[in-house]
Amino acid sequence: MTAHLMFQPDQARQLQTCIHCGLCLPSCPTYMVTGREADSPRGRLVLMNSIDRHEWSDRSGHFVHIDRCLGCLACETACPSGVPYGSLLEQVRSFQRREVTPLKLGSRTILRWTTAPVLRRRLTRLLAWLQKLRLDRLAVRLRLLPRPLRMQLAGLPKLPAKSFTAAAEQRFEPRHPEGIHRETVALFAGCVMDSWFANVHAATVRVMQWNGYTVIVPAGQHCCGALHAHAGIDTATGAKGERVGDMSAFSQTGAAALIVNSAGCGAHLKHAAADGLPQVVDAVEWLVDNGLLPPVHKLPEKVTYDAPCHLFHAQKIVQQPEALLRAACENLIPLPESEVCCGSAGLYSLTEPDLSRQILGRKLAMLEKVDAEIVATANPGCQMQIQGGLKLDGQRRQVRHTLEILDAAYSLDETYRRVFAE
Amino acid sequence: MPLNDSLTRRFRKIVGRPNVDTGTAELLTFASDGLTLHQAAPECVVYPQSTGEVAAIVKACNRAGVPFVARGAGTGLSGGAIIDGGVIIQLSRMNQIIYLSADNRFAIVQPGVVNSYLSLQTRPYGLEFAPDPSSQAACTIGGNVAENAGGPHTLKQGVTLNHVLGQTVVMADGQVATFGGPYLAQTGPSFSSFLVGSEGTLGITTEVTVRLVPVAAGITTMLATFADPAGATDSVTAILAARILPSALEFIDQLCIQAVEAHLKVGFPTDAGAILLIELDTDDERSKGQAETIEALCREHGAIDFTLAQSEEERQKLWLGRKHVAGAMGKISPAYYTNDGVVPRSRLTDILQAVYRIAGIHKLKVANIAHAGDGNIHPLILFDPDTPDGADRALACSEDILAACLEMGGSLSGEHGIGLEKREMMARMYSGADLAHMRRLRNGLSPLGLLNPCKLLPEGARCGEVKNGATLPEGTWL
Ligand SMILES: Cc1cc2nc3c(=O)[nH]c(=O)nc-3n(C[C@H](O)[C@H](O)[C@H](O)COP(=O)(O)OP(=O)(O)OC[C@H]3O[C@@H](n4cnc5c(N)ncnc54)[C@H](O)[C@@H]3O)c2cc1C
Ligand code: SF4
Ligand code: SF4
Repeated sequence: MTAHLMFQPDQARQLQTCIHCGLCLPSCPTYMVTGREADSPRGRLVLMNSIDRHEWSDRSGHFVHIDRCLGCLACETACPSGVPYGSLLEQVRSFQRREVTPLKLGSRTILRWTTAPVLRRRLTRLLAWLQKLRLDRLAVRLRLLPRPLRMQLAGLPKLPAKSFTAAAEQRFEPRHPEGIHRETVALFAGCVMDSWFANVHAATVRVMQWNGYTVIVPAGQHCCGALHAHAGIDTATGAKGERVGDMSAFSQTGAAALIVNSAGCGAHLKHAAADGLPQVVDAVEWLVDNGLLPPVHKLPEKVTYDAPCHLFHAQKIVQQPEALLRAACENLIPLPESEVCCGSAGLYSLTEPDLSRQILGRKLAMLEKVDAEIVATANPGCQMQIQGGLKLDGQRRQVRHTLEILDAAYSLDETYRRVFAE
Repeated sequence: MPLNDSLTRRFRKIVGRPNVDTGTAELLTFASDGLTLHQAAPECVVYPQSTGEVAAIVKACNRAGVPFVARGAGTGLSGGAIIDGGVIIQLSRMNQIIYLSADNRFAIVQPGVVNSYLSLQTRPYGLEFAPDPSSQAACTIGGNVAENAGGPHTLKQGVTLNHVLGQTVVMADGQVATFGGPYLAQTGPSFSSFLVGSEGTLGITTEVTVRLVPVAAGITTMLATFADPAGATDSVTAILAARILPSALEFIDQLCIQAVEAHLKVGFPTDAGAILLIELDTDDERSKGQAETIEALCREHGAIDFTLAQSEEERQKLWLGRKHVAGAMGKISPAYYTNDGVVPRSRLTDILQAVYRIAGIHKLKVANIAHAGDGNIHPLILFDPDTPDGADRALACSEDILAACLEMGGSLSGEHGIGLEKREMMARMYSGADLAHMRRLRNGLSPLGLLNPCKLLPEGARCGEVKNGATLPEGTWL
């Protein structure tokens, strides 16, 4: 028996459940683009096995293809043999960071500036100031920056004046139109979502209240660490003092559920959340599974839905977003290849700009074919990537969180507007 | 022997630098296809995008005297798409549907188009590509042509051969030839047909004109449950003897059912000895009568339950279960070998009993699926590759099963091809004269013997063995 460099015995066994059938190939976005076996799930599993079982003097060639993996988990959905690709990938990445190549400085910097509270506040202020002076548009138009950065800038939402969470716990009472009171839930605010997508949180809270739930937003929340885990960095040792992955703010809430509205965070927390926390549930999943209050009026705009990988493939939340959007929109137009990654994938658009751009290109081409004014999705990374891509591509379409769309549909009703105008 | 530098330089000129792979990691991933028993890495992989590029690559290989092989998705189950040293011409980027004529019911496609993608694109026109191998989500039309692929619905519709109207082929010497055309009625002998099923040993297909058939207007899907597998196979014979030709007639035994249900929950009865999945491509009055006859015949042969799929969703689920059987084996065994024998369908019950008996002798577990209507069996022979003789025992078991098929008047392969591991058995099926003519054809079309060498025909000592791990470090896979 050969020794294992990287995998635990049970993981090595999981790797063996890959029977090399190749059924995962066509669903892999990197394989779609390069047509290379080494850029396919099956090829990557071969490379993982090879790294695990051999003392290669130079493993860099292997890791090139591991680096190119989006971690989108479309391969898990396609695999008839149930290969747990995602967890194997995380193990490989953390081995890589420990033993082979540390995360590049640029990526580390971005991770810190987006997930560490103090730095993020500074970055947000800087970006908001750029937006106010319209310098961001100038930078995008004048091509002053490399394309991946321009795209991020173009895709940035209008930054709110302050983040959603406050110094003290906030509590929002139910506002069900018939006065019904349902469970109390806690909202996970996250890092980037909290600072840049405060309006999505506000919409989430309103629709929860309208559906009869009490929402608490604990103070002292931290980044969940999803980005770190995907990049292979151990949060316990990696980011000192930043308390990444510290979920203690939720342990005393007594909430029926820990509601997450960002697909990436939700997928990570469902896996990694410690004991003693409320059950982690995606916001759309929660609303639909527990019976959604249908909006009185439907949005007239043409809407299409791009499924975030970490909702569709990682959390297997497939039906609910569509059910919700069908209730909220008059014209829901199916998007071909909706479940194929947009190329955002955490830091991917910055670490693998060329591939990311090609993968996004495919997505934009699909969007171009579809006659929709609004693209619904449910993950900050996807939202910025697709919005940025659309802008640089000259397509005038808005990308919105699914819950913002539901909120907008509810808002067509005067009572809803009045209740929340207070 | 490292590939000479001038050849790789030539390739880079033809297809551009990024489209030539020579790195250890990249080559390693091409060391096997869907059959992991054989491992042999190429020395170079080239990704062409046009017929012209393929022709130029083939010519360069000829000039350098280096062997080469075409590869689609690498889902083949007979080691067809691997080469020990030499060049893989990887066709995954030639994946465009070039032309679609809905009125005339044909399409011209590049070889790298994925089988199910083609039907996805033609279904809005009410048409589809009939051959539906279980690997259809991934395998390519080029691979289907080379292996003459079949599937559950080829019972009525016919195999790939019946759906290829014409081909553009880069011959072994690099010349480009076009055989056949978009219409069924054609002049002269059908050279295109000659190439179908030749496992990529006579030429590299770079364009295929495929026939498209109308999507069935209605469908009746039935699930018959049996306590005894023999009851299921007897029913198959009875149904076909009653002059009913279902569009599909699939046999699935208990171990397969349990593997699928453990993972997918499609609604197969886990305590059944075997099930039959039976489909008619109509749902009118006549098919109602046929379904009743089928039910009566199944019950007569011991069916303990018989149900009709009530919705399209239920039907899709049943088929999903069927198509995932092979894949689900990974859940119950670290490795398996797929046998592909064929018997006259009146001998199905006999061969199945023989399969269980032979597996018992070899002390191996075997899970059985079969395109029962075609008499094409797929015993999945489970083994542990970490025991020293695991793979050898599985192969020996498979060989005995094939010998039993031949004894019953059957053949070595229904659809997966001969490839590497079965080629020596060809001599048991064909006479010396048969084989000599096949070899003459091959030598005539591929005089240098560089195109996909060592496959299909028994080669004796001429070819050297492609051994497990011949060019790879020990334990690379398996
Ligand atoms: C889970 C599973 C289920 C399967 N079920 C079925 C089934 O139901 N029915 C069935 O028939 N098969 C089945 N197969 C086998 C396999 O999918 C088929 O043989 C398929 O046709 C191979 O296509 P491919 O693109 O993967 O070809 P590859 O594996 O890449 O190649 C197969 C052979 O074709 C040659 N080839 C490929 N492209 C060309 C070309 N353009 N020109 C010339 N030669 C070429 C290669 O050299 C090789 O010899 C199954 C396989 C798996 C893994
Ligand atoms: S996670 Fe996505 S990119 Fe990575 S191998 Fe799987 S399908 Fe491909
Ligand atoms: S589909 Fe699953 S078993 Fe098949 S090659 Fe991909 S990962 Fe392996």
